[in-house]
Amino acid sequence: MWSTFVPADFRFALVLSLVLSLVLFMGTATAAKKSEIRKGLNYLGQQLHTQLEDGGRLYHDPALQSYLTTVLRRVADADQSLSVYVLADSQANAFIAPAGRIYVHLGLLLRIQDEAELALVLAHEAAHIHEGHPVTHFRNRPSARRQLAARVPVLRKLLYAGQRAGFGQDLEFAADEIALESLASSGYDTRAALRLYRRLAQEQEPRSVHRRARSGHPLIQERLARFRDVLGQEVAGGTGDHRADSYLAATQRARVAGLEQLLALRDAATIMRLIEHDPSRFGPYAGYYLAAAQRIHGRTSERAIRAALNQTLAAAPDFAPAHRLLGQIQMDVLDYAGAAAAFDTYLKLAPKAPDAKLIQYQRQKLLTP
Amino acid sequence: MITAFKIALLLTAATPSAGYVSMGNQWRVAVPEAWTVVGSDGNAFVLSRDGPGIQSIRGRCRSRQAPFAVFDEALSSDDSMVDHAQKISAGLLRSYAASAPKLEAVEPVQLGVRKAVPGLLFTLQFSNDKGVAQVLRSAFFMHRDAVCSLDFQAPGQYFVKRDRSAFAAVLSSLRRR
Repeated sequence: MWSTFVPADFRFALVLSLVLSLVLFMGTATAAKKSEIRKGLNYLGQQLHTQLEDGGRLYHDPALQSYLTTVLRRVADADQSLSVYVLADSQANAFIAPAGRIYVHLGLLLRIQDEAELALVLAHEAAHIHEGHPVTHFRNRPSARRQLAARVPVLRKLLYAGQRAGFGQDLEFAADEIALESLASSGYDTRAALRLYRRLAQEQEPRSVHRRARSGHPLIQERLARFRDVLGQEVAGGTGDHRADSYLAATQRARVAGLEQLLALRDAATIMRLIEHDPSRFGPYAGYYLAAAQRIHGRTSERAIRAALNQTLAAAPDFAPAHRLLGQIQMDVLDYAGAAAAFDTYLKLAPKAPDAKLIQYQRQKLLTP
Repeated sequence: MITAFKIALLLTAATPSAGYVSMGNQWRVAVPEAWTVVGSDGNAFVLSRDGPGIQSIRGRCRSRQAPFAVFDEALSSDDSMVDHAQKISAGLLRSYAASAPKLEAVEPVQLGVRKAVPGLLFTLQFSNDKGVAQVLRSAFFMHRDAVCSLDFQAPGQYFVKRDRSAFAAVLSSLRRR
């Protein structure tokens, strides 16, 4: 498995060792052996996919998957051998795995704003597959081959190193160039590259920049600079399709699930950055996630938090988490009767929520003199 | 001499004990029957029955200012129980992020028997680095400037069922030293 967008953690050392061994061997194999190796890679890709599935890492939404596949086919010459899946993870990442599988994290869907930007990501990953970058990358790295020969536990280190490094600077730049060509030839606005990479560059943490610089993976800023060389500075305009409405409609549920993950991790800064930029992208739930993040962040007035939350309570009164948050806000201002009423509504709407017993207990305590 | 001392220490550590083990230098819990003290330094301990790579009960106390290495939110005494739960679950989810954990439940729990200590019990499911489904049940309680936890982790099939009562016994045995 090779991460090609931004870093992620993964632990499939055994599968990866077999995959990499086959990939390295493929470089010197005969045609007959290559066919066998492809079969092996397909098998391992399936095994990897099953592990993701069994581990509950995949996000399931058939309509979304159908939409992603349609966009992928449009930018990848209708290649039927490629498939795309969504990983239930809030990091901004995408990667490829054997057997033509592309995985896009929920966190990346959260940051993408239109179909042209999604098409760029998918075209980039498809380019890695079509150009055989995994083979090239590992064949050109003697140190990787030596480490492979030693197998586990060195493989575990290699796995992490490989994910951080992606395919190396040259191959990442090459995939970017091919992705731009694919975008243009399939009728999408190529300036999507500038918009997406500028947004990601603004978000990239200094620590991540430092780590990337050491890994040999091109920095988002470097990739943005190369896109600017080709496309110019202007991010707006462009002649191709943007299709923002289609993208937002198809990914609405997934993006809300991504926000929920960020909130569970209490990543308030990221939630606020994503929503404040354009709340309308998150529909009626924007107010709740913004209010929850602002309350965690602790620098927003209670009045402003309440105003944001009220938008969701008005637009989606059956959205249980909004009532739980209202209860917490009422507790903040010592309105215990109001808090108890809000918790009651939460429990009525979500009686089987993981925290239902806790909220029930808190509610009882509120009303105990 | 040093080697003999180490061997003696290991033998002592590996001996099944029906005694007590300390955490946070102020608290102690009973070691369940058939369980072994794998490690203990007064502040933290590890117990296991079949080996810590299979299942374990771990106890330790940390500062409320920095309860998780991966997370910089403090547990304030002004926080409500719901806020504490949300902060701790975020700390747990971040601590096990590479294993894609899922929070199954968070509920109030009473630790100890005679002088019960109120706490929060979290149940998470995830897969370990070998792909084996794991269950983590983690009980947290606050005391002065410290937050202490008692964690039971085991593979999600046979061991969780078998050892659930042992963990419950540990929780109910909590008391001040």
